[in-house]
Amino acid sequence: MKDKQISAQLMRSSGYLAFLLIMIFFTIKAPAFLSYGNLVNIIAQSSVLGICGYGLTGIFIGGGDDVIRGGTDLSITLNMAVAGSVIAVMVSRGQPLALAVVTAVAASIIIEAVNAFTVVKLKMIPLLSTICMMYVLQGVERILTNNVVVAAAHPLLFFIADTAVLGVPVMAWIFLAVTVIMYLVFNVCSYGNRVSAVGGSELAAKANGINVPWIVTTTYLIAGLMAAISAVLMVARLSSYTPGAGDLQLFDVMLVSYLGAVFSRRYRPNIPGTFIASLFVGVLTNGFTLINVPSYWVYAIKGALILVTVSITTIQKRRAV
Amino acid sequence: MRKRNRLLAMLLCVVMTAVLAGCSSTSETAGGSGDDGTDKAKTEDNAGQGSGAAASGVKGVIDGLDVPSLEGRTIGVAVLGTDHEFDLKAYQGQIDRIEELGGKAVAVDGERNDQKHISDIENMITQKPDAIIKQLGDADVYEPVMKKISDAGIPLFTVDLVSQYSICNSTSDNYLVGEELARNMYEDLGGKGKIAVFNGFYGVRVCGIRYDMMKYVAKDYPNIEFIDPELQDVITGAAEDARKKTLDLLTKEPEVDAIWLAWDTPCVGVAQACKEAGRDDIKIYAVDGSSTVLELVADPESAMYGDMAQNPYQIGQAAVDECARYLAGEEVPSTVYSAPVYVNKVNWENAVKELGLEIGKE
Repeated sequence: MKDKQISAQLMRSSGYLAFLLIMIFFTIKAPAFLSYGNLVNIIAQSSVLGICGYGLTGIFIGGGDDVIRGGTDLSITLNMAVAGSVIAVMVSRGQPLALAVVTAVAASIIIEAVNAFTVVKLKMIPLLSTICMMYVLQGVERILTNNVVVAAAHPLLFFIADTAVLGVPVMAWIFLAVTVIMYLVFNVCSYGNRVSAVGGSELAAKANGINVPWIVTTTYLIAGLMAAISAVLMVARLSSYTPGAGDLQLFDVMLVSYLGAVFSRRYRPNIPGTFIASLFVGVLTNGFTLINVPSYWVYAIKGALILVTVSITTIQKRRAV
Repeated sequence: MRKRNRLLAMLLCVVMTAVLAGCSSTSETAGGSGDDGTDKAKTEDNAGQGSGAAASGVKGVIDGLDVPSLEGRTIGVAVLGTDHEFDLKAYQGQIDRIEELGGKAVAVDGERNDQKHISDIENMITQKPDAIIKQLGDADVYEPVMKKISDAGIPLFTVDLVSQYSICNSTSDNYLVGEELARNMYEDLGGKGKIAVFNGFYGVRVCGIRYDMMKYVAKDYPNIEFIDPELQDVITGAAEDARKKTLDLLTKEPEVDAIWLAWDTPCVGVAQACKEAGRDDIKIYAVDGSSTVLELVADPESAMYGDMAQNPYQIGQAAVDECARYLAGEEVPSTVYSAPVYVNKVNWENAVKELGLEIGKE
């Protein structure tokens, strides 16, 4: 009995243990790793990934965890890319940054509204409908940018990318602020309970009077907002928009959203878990650079992590059933 | 079920241990001194006020003058990507040269992902190397992170990247590259004809210079026309993308006499498209001197006609030479040029010999 408890506890803590192990390893191998400057740097570097990951996590929570029919959005990073290109193109043509950001937010939310429509009203499988949207957005991004780098020089974007307030980069502040807000929305407010209920069992949620289509729709709309916020940070970081930026990040965003499940007692995607997972990925990339290990290792580790994560969560869920 | 849990927990431990063990061994082989690179004998010399390093016995690749040793120095090498021949050779030139001069190279590969590469460079700044050499990239994208390098007091050198923060940029003379390629192209056409231009990377300074020079020289050839709109080449899948775009172009605009590109990776696709369209009368001109493209130049059946061959390995070596001199307190020029060699269907045999390459017709 005691063995069983220890084993279950070990499983529950496996994500944290792995994180701790890696932190200790990097600290020993590279003393600079644990420096204050490096740690806040990791938070800032993880911001685009983390915020975009929150959007996808919300969809996972509300759409259920069925790999095929469950909630997902494969177009979310392309949505971010379109928002980023809108901002860069408008700023480069002399439009006010505020107008560019508002336009990007509107575009991102409209894109996710279309996704929600195909999933909720047309009952398309999210995996397929969002793949279609992904290709549409790839084309839109190329049309907007003409497939060339679009410079977006603006003092406010520069401030976001290159300024520290109270010793913490502005990008990290924004990341932390969005994290707190998303935590309140999904883990404290009653809205979060309804989203979890819909994701857990649609039928039970309906029986309890929850407006399931509306709740699912709102998770997509929130994802649109997250995509737009991450786009602002991405454009600030690059001081431009580079075509193809969205294509490269989809699997990382999916990784942190799925990996978040390991940092949860219920093995389900969740906002705090996604926050830790994005830092985990940031720590891996940063740490391996500090100890001069080729970045190709990070791919192998990410793959191993997904494998272990999916194995743990699958076994634990089966056990719960 | 308990057994399965234990197995999974063990699996997790084994995976993490194996990964970390693998990384340990890799990091030891990556650097000469086996430490983490956050060390020692650096700092006070970073601003080029070094007290003079020991002679390495190595002569500069461009000027043949002595190059100081890099013994005890850690040099960061940040490359945008290594998937193109130019990138890989220039990168290899830097790594080999640093080791030849007794230094330790710390390298990051951006894999053509700007966001990743900016993070790589930020992480490299944390390591506080004695100097950083940044290879290629869009000037707008990398200017802020190059400022960060400069603000951190780390001397910055660049390869094919012009920046106000770079102490010395090692490159081909791209003004000469653009001018000579253009002049040869216009002369080959008899001063008259229609030219299609791939211009996807004007923001990359070296490509911008080549393009501007090509247009500048055209002022002396009033009967040269450029097809509008210009074509946009891409990084990912460059050859296949260029093949499709060229086929579309030849359908829409059959009266093309020549095609110009600022680099030569897409040329394989462009030449293939001309072959498919039965247009071996078209002449293709580009820059770089990739071995695959030089083989096309040597092939009498191919439309690939002229290529301004750079010497990327030497360009990489030259960046390290100037870095070593600067760290030893010597004055260095703001730009160091490596001579390009024009290769076409007429001179290719002698030209590739001059480049030290072996290209065969077979």
